[in-house]
Amino acid sequence: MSQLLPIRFQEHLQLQNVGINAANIGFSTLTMESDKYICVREKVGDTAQVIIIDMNDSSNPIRRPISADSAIMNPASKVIALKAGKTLQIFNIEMKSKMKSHTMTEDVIFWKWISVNTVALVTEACVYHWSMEGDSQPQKMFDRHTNLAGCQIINYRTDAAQKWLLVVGISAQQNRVVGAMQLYSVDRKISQPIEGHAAAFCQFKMEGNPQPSTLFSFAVRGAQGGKLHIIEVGQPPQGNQPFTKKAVDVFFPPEAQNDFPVAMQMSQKHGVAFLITKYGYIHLYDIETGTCIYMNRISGDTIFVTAPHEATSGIIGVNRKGQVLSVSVEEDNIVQYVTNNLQNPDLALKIASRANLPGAEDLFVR
Amino acid sequence: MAHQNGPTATKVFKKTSPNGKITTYLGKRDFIDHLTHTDPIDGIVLIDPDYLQGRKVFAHVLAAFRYGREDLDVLGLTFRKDLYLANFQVYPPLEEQTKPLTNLQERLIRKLGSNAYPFYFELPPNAPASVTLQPAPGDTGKPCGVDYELKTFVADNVDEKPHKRNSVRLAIRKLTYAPVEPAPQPSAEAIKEFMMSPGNIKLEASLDKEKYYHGESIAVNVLVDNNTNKSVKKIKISVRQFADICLFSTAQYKCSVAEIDSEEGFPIQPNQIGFCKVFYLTPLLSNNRDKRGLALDGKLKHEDTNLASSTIMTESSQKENLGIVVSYKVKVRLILGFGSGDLCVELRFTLTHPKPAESPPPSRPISVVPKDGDNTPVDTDLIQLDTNGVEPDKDEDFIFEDFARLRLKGHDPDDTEA
Repeated sequence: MSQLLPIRFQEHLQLQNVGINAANIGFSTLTMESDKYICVREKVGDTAQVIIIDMNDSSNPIRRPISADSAIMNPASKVIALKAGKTLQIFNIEMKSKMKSHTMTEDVIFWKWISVNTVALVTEACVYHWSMEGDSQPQKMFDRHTNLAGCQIINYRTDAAQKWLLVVGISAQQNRVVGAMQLYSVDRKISQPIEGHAAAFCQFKMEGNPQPSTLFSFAVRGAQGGKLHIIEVGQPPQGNQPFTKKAVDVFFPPEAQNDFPVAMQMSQKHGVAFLITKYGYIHLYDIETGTCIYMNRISGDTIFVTAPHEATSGIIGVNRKGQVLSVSVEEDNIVQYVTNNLQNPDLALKIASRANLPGAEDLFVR
Repeated sequence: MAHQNGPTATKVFKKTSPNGKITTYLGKRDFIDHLTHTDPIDGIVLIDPDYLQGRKVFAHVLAAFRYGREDLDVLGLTFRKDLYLANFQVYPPLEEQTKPLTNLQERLIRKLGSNAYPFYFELPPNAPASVTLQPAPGDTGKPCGVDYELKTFVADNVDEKPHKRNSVRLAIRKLTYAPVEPAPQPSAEAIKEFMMSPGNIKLEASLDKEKYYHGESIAVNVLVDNNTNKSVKKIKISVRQFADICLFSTAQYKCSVAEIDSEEGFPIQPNQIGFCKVFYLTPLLSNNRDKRGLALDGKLKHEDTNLASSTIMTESSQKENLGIVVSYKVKVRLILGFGSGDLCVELRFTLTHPKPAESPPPSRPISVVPKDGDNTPVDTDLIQLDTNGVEPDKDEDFIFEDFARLRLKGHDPDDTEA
């Protein structure tokens, strides 16, 4: 019998096959804000171009001359945000019109669409949110914590309500890459520095709870080893049982001494967290219990950018070779896998009931 | 092989070294001498930088006159004379050799990435044209003549002998295109008198023009006034190729490439004047495949060529540097009766290529964009959406054609001509 896998791995595209130069497949030149578009900047001589790949029509990338040092596509529509130093502009590609522009007083060193109508801007000193509504200007959200000093900012995330904000940075210290995060509560106006490499927020509905809980999960490989933490942030909603904090070990094989987590996405539908490491390993955790369901290596090259894969509630990413790949829960197999391979019928039942998956029928009988 | 990739696809020739570490890309194999300028030899070398380990990559263009078969070389004496040699350091690029990228180079670099490096040669005026001396049917090896070779190779310095495994040799050609310009129609006349009889025979011949393209027929207008009591039995007209081999001393070889032997309207009777007739000849290689030593335009393996084009001499040309100087003449000969000898005239003309399809646009990089300073105003758009996707897109298609077609066929791997 062929082995049942609880995950499904898919290759969507090889960027080099659609004319993307291998040298431009990297963190500073390629962005993927959602599973809809990939944006690549290419430079030859003094000419710069942006290449926009629509994942639904990946064989027809569009190229446009740009003079921007960063380009990020809106997660939903054909709207592109461009930045050159302090100058920010938003264009509607289909209307060929400039929607907004703004000049900052400081350089923006990292930015990201945090929703279909908001861009987050990280400068050396602070974090701003810029809404696309009307004439709104970027609004300062908080000052950066000193724990991020000297870090390269690699991510910015928020919870669904944008009440919890998170900056993620990394720095090299004593032959290892240290992850530093700053978690900020909009309501309480408090920051908390955290050591961590990759993190995600999730609205997770626990069994018996009327409301979903806002969970914050982060993974770290510290001096003491790898850990995954899942905690509820803020006050539990009315009528909800609080979520009990989970902290589990993240396994790194002996040959991966310098490996560390680089990306995390959570599936609300399946109640699982996908964790990807620098060396291309994927780990699958059950959110509610923190159980590691599966791990395997899926890429020989570093996956440097990820986004949620909506169609499968999975994770989509791009590796340095330009392979666009996704991993999702294999709905037909996961319950059976957890039952047989993990010998964990309780978890199998939980997973089956959460997303109404097959494979748990005989578990009731046991 | 060259599947059509839309009207904008550009054919690019490529060849990789046997060890796969360097690949040379060229937009064409024929470089045309327009007399005012010669097409620059611009290309790209794709390098595996991990392989180099401190070594450099050079390109050279060598024009050599090969006058003996290479396999006869036993004493280290090569039967060749280098006529022109130019070097270019491709990697690491040298500041003083940096030129603005040509359109093709820019597009190739964009396609191939940051390990692609340009090279650029401009052949000097009066550089010799590629000429192949037609080998005999059974001859093997490289034919004699003037050939051009572009070699890219890995070495510590330019004088080092390149290894086969990490070098790429491409046969290229330099061809001459002589533009149409007004020139007098060639004409000649000759008068023959006889010791033993009165009167003379006058032969006048002219060509309809001075310059012919390969494959064009030549109209030879012949006028004869016979004021003697002899008769003219027939006429022989030939087109002859003259090849001056300029080696240690100049030797001239003649070869007839088209002939007419006509008795139509003949004999021309005694005292018949006003004989006038137009004869047509077409000098073609296809009728002269058996003539060993005939000068042809440089031949690339597996491609047909044509008779050698006339060498265009200018005041500054030095025969020694040209290797082979080719010229053509039409010879008209009247055959008289026994004992009376013949009457001949010769008319010089130019045989050359028709105007090339497209003289490459002057090497202009696409990326000449005014540089703006740091004080970019806010209202300068960071993206140009109104290009309809044309400008950058249209250049993206390349059809890569392997230079080394021989290797595919699995024989003669050392052959450098392909």
